[in-house]
This record gives sequence, C-alpha cells and structure tokens, in this order.
Amino acid sequence: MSKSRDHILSRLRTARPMPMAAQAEAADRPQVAADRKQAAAEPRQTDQSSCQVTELSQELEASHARVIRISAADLPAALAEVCQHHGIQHLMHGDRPELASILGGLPDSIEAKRFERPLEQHKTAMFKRTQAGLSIACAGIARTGTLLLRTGPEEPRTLSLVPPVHFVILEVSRIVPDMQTALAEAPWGNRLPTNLLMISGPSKTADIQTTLAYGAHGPKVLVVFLLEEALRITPIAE
Amino acid sequence: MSQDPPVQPPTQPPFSQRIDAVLEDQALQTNLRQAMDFLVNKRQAHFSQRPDFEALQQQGRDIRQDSLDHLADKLETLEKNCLANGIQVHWAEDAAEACQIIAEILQSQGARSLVKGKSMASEEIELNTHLAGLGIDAIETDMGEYIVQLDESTPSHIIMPAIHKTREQIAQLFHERLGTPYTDDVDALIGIGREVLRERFMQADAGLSGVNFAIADEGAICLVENEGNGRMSTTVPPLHIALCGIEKVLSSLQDLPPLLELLTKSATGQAITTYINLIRGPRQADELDGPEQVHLVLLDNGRSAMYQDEALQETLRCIRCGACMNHCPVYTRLGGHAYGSTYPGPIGQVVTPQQKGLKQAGDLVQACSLNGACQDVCPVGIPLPSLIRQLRQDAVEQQPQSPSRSRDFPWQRGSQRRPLESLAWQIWAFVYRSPARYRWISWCLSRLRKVLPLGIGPWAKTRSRPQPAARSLHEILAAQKRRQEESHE
Amino acid sequence: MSETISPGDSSVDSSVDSIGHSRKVHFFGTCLIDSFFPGVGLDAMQLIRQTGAAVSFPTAQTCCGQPAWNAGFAREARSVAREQIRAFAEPLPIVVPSASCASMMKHEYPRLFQGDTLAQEAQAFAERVIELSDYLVAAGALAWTDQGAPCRIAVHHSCSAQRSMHSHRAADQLLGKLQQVTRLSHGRASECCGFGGTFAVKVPSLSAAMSRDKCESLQSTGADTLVIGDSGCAMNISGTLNHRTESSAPGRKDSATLPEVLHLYQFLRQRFWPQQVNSQ
Repeated sequence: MSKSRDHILSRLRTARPMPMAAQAEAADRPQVAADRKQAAAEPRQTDQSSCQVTELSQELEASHARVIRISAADLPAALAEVCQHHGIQHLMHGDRPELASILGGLPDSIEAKRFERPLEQHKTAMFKRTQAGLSIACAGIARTGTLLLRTGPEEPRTLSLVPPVHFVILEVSRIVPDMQTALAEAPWGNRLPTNLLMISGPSKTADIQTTLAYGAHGPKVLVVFLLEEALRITPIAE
Repeated sequence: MSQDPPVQPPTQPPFSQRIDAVLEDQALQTNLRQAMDFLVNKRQAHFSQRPDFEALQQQGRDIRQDSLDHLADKLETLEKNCLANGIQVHWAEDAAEACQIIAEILQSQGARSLVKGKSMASEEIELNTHLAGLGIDAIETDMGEYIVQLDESTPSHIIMPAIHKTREQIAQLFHERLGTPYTDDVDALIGIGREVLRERFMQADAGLSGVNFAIADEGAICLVENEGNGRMSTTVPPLHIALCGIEKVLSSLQDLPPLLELLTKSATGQAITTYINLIRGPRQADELDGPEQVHLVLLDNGRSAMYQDEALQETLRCIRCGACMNHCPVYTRLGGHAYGSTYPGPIGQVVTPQQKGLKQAGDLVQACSLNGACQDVCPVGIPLPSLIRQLRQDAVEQQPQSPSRSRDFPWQRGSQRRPLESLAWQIWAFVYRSPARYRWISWCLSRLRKVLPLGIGPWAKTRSRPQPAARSLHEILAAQKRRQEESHE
Repeated sequence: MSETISPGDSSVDSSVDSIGHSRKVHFFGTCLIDSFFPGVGLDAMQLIRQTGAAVSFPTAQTCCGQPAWNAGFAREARSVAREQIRAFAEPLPIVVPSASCASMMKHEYPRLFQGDTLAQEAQAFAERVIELSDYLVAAGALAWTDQGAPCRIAVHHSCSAQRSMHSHRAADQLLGKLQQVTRLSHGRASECCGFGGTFAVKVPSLSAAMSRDKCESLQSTGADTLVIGDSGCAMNISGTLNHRTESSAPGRKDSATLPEVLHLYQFLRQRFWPQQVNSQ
C-alpha cells in the first residue's frame, strides 16, 4: 500500500515546469492565504442581530422548516403543542441539563427518552419507534438559514437524522451573519467535533423529474425554536 | 504505472451511432430539455449579476489552484491529520487497487452489505460490479442513484442521476421491481424509496461515501447533500469508507464557504444544501453513535498523470457541480449515457480521454462546437473549450508542437490521426499560406461554383448548397483599385 | 441572459477608445466573406470609411487559420497564421467583421506562437485586433441615424461574439440606434446555432439538430428579417432554412414564408448608409 503512496506522491512532485504566466498567477495567490486570515479575524456585527433573526427565519421557512420565536418560559408549552400537532408520543433527546426544565413541562402523553446508550442497543427502536429528536444548536447562520450542531456524547448524530421529525432549539444570540463567520468563531471550541453538522431544512430531493419532495431520508419535518434568552440549567426539582 | 490503458471490449455501438439514436428519441429530448432549463434557470437566479459571479469564480479558481500547486504537501498534511484523528488512510493508484482496498476493508470486518451515499468516484472505479463479484451487496441510496440501480443502468448526470427519466417511467420501474402498487405521485414514490432504503440503512454492515472536499489542516472530510442518505450511510453502519479523488484537497476550513457557495449554486441553484457534514473522525470513546471505523481511500486513477501536463492539469480544479453539462447544447441533446463514460458533458470530454486514452475516447472531443457556454459558468474557471481543442491536437499530432508540453503524454498521442484528414489540412495550409495559390483557388471556386460538388456530404444533408460568390472580395477590390489607378492616369 | 450596458462598461476599454480615433485601419476580410459574401466585406469597409478612417486591405491576407487550429492541426494553422501576421505588419489597428476570426487572432495567436520566434510579434499583432462592432462604437457610429423603412428583426449573435469578444454588446448598441427597427426577442438566444466550423461536418446529426432548433426559434418571432452577426452562422442558418423549404416543396421556394437573412454589417450599412452603393 505504501508503495502506491510513494508512487503517487513522487509523480505529483515530479518537476512540472510552471509557465511564466502561471508563475505570475501563483505569485498573486498569497492573497488567498491573506483573505483566509482576514476572514477569520473579522469581528461579528452584533448590531445586525435583529435583521439576522429575521433573515434566518425567512430562509428556514423558505426551505420548508417551521420557525417559532419564543421565550424560554413558553418553550415547554410550545414544544408540547407542536408534538401534539405531529402526533409525537416518543421523543428522544441528548444528555443536556438545559433540557431538564423544558422536558419537565411536557405532558405525560409524550415519552421523552434520553439517548444514553450506544445506538446498537436501541437501533430498531430508534428507527421504528422514535418519532422525534430534540437538539440544541450551537450556532445559526442567518444568510442561509442554517443550524450548526456540534455532535458529541450529549448530541448523538442520529438524533438529528433518523426520527422523521426534528426539533432544534437555538438561542438568537448565537446567530452569525454567514458561514465564514461561523467557521472563524468556531463555537465548538478549539477542535472540530467528530461531526460538525450544518442543517438548513428538512430532507428533500428533486431527483424525480426535478419535482421537489420532502423527507427523502432525513427528517421530513424540521421545527426550530428561536429562544430570545439563553437556556439555563435549572436544578431538577426532586 | 501501466503504459497503455487496457483495451475495452466493444460493448456499445460507436459514438456516432449513439448520437443518432438519442437524437431520434423524442421523449428523451423533451425530458432533457426541460431538466436542463430547470437547472439553468435555478442557477441563473443566484448569478444574475455577472460581475458578482466573476468575483466569486476567481476566488474559487484561486483557492483550487493554490491547493493543486501544493498538492503533494497538502495530501501528506491531510494524511497526517486524519491519522491523528483516528481516520485510517489508504492510497490507490488505479481503479483496480481502489476496488481491492475497499473490498479488503469490507471483508476484514465481515461486511456483506454496503449502503452507498453518492460517489461518482465509485462509479469511475466500477466498485459495485467488483463487490458483486465478491458477494458483497452494494445498494445505492441517493434517490436518483437508487432509481438507476433498479433500472440496471448508470447515472446520466453527475448531480441528478435519473434526470433522463420521467416520473411515469420511474413509477413503472418501482411498480415492476419493488412490487408496490403503481403510483406516479412524486411524494408517494419518494416515500416508497424512503421506506425501502431505511431498512437497508438500519441493517447495513458498512457505508461508503464520496468526498466533496478534504480539509488538510483539519484532517476532516466535507460532504454535502439534500436527502440525508449521505449522513445515514456515514453514521449508522459501524464502518464508513470514504473514497476521495486526490485532487479534492483544500487547505483549511476557511476555503470552504466560497467553494460551497459556488458548488451548491452552480449545481442545483441552492444557496446551501440541506446538510453539510464535516467528519473529523470515528466514534470517540465517550460517544454513543457513529461508525467505529472511518477509512479514507485516496484515489489517483490518472489524476497524477493529468497533474503533470501543464495545460491539462487545470482539469483537476473541478468540483463536480455539473454546471458545464447543464449549459452545454450538446449534452442537452445527448444526455449522459451517449457519452459512454462515467463523467459526461464538457468535463467528461476532457477527463475521459485522459483516463481511458485518446484511442478509445478520442471521438468524444469531436462532439463539441466550442461555443464556450461551459467555460462561462464553470465556478472554478476551467477553460474547457481550450482543453478540448488541446486534446484534439494531441489526438492528431505525433510530436508535441509546443515546447512547453511534456513529451511524456501517456494517452496515445496521435492515435486519432487519419491520413486523409491530415492530407486535407496539409493541402489547405499549402494553399492558404500562399497569397498567390489562395487567389488561384479562389478564382477556381468562383468560376466553377455552379458545378462544384458542394451539394454532397454531411453539410448538405440538411442545408441548401452553399454557393461561392461570382467574384471574391479580393478580386472586387483589386478591380476597384485598377479602375482608380486608370482614372488617375 | 439579459445584461444592461452601463456607461462605464469596461467592455470597451481604453485601448479600444484610442483605436476609435485612428485615421487609418487595416481590414481583415475573413475567408468566408472573401469567398461567399464579398458584398458583406464591401459593406463592412464602407461602414469603417463612414467613421472617417481610411481602410487598408493588405492583399496578402487569406485566412486566420481557425479551422485548422480548432481541428487540432496546429502546425498547419501556424503556417497560415504566420502569413497573416506578416501581411499586417504595418502597426495599424486590424478591424475584423467577425468575432470568431477576431477571437482567433486576439486570443489564440499568442497561444499558437508560444515559444516560437514570432511570439512577440504575434502578441503585438493580437493587441491590434478589434472586432468591427467594437470599432464602430469606439469611432462614433452611435451618432449615425437610421435611414430605412420600418421593419421587424430577430438577431443572432455568434458564440464568439457573446462569450469571447463580447462584441455583441457593441452590436446591440448599434442596432439599438435604428429607430425604425423593431427587434423581436427569441428563446435561448445565447445558444449555439450548431455551425461550430468542422463540427457541422464531423458530427452532422447533432449540428443539424442544433441548427434546426435555432431556425425554429428565430422564425417563431415572426420577424421579416434575421440579422446574423457572423458569416458561418449566417451560412448555417440560411442554408438550413432554405433546405427545409426546398425539401418540403421541391423546386418551389416559398419566399413568402421565409424571413430574409442578412449579415449584421450588410444590414447596418443598408440602414445607416443606403446611398453608399457598393461599386462592383
């Protein structure tokens, strides 16, 4: 195997004389690295935030997602109502202390299970029984109506993928104008999560005669709860 | 590296016959025209202001070319960072080796079923056929790919694989192959596909994906999609294999936003796709889902040879958006299958001769009027008409004419040279480079214009006979000059 | 794809501006015009003279070499191109009534002669090349007035004009000055007519399909006159139109249903300068 590696790399390194024109072009290209640096350094425009919330909402709605602007206090009732609307009885969520108070406000008719065991131990239930997944986004991108999810032990990948309905909570303070800013700010810390997910609507396809249809493989329904204030970790009432 | 690509057995009629056949298929012509109009209009909605597009195009071109200029270094960086992240890295020189590597990975894990996210590279290496021979069931999960797989066919477009089919045709296909009741309602058909494939995702031993971009600095791969099958294939099964052409490397995360914007707007006229997934590693010790193993297979298959040709290396900037074929008047009439190659359209006409050799694929470069629509819309500024013209030159000349072209041209230089055609051009040059001979031929053309056999041949099958003028412009002007001189005497 | 031309449009750059003030220019007739449409050549030269410039016609000119170059026969193309560079040695602007030939000489000659002894001359030659529409606009032709009777036209610009030289913008400006002319638009105006030089004979069925679609599109406007910006396209379009009529009713030319096909420069000369009869 490593012989192939050596062959490939040596072929790529074989002196390929760059013509004068290309050399001149390449000399211009430090601009690429400079652009990158500049993009990474540009500060976020916080005074645009209310426009950004509107822009994010509009983009998501145009992509067939539903957007609900809500306060943290009203979130449990809103979530319950949406669950009822979609006939959700089995909901799954990650191990997030912030969700405790929200889930505590759900009616008993909705079973909210925590994703706490490896997928293999409940794969069939996940695929056939779980009707909705509940996630918390680490950021939102206004320009394209995009939610960033940082996967990890508390946000398993399949939560936002397998159940046919997906609920996402996003604090409006975490909305940035564009992808460049989102990647530069790196709201996931200093190392990329194993999966960095950017979700911009429910699953769709136009593969049959260019006709748009939703719910190809990922969730058919995406509901985004935009929270005005930050989610707080409240002590669980015993 | 093998000197000559293996000679392909003639499994399909010659290109000219394939062209005639598809042109006569009225249903296909209508389908294709509607589909291409749809894609062209969607893209146009985003890029109506040409200067804005050109600025982004230049940026895309620069980022891609910068990567390519340091490709070997970038690949080593990618490998190092992937390994540090727990992604296993393999290198495949050609299609056979790639198939072998993938098969071995699957077999080592006892994998018998494979779900495939979208990967044109896997079509290129004919992976499914290879795996079928080993008893490994590979099922396509992109809706379009699934449809063509059911149809026992191949994709006809790199972004919308089943674009050549109507929904009635797909409805009939599902009804016959899946035994479901006939319905041509698109939502219902998608629902059927979803149910069938959901079972497969759940059961599969392994998943295979392509790679849209590999980020060297992060040791991560970026996949874009709308359906979610890519995420399913790379998340649910315990094993994920990612097949990546070596040219797909980018330096850093900051390279992604402009290229993603160019890709999605050029391909399907979307500001962004439903899902973008940056995969940095397998399931970590404290995680609850995700594949236990992630393998990255780096595929050469002729790319390093393309890389060595100063003119043709521009081909490698391609980000597989499909805009070139959407805007190509030839592709719009032929559809993907007539090209007889994995990659159709203008990019296919440039890539295929470089992978299969000019002897086998040389006629592909003739099916082009050099109209330039493709180059206009290429998000990374590949000069496709120039490259097609260059390949035509490579096909007919035995020695490279330009001193800067490499003498080592591994794709059968001159293999399309025909004695009669060469002679015709030599005669043409002999006449046209001499003003005296040219004027003599001109004179013959005009005096014999009524009897010359210009009414035969392919031109005249569908056009009335062109008639040379009674006197050429040269003659008229010479006569005018003589009259002027006479009147001054 | 519609584009508005703004006053500051850089499609006519400063070097073109200076060419517009030339007192004398070269004229490159093109081989198709020479052999098949000499009248168009005379019309083009007349248009140049009306801007106040004298026209030089180097008699050693033959062909830009594009047919051979596009077919991949570089050595043959170069041998012919060399003669054009020599024929036009006098450092005047070279005005070309065809975007495809102009593009060949402007964009491809430097490539053709890369590493050749003539490399520098080829570059200098290329810089002097200008398509006729661009020249006319730079030289003040937009001040001309329409002398013709009302008519309805549909216009086809070549691919080279639209994508390579961008001279279609200048051509549209000139056509826009014709007050008595109604210009009808047709679908897929930017799509290739199917000529493509040797493409028409190498892949005839494909070329025919494209030509047929273009003719249908142009005819569907109901225009009396089709104005075509390039001789190759004109030969292709008028040939296709005539053939369809002949084959549907052999021996009878149903001229009542066929629009007139005119070359752009033929049309412009007739509209702007009808009294300047071409002496033959």
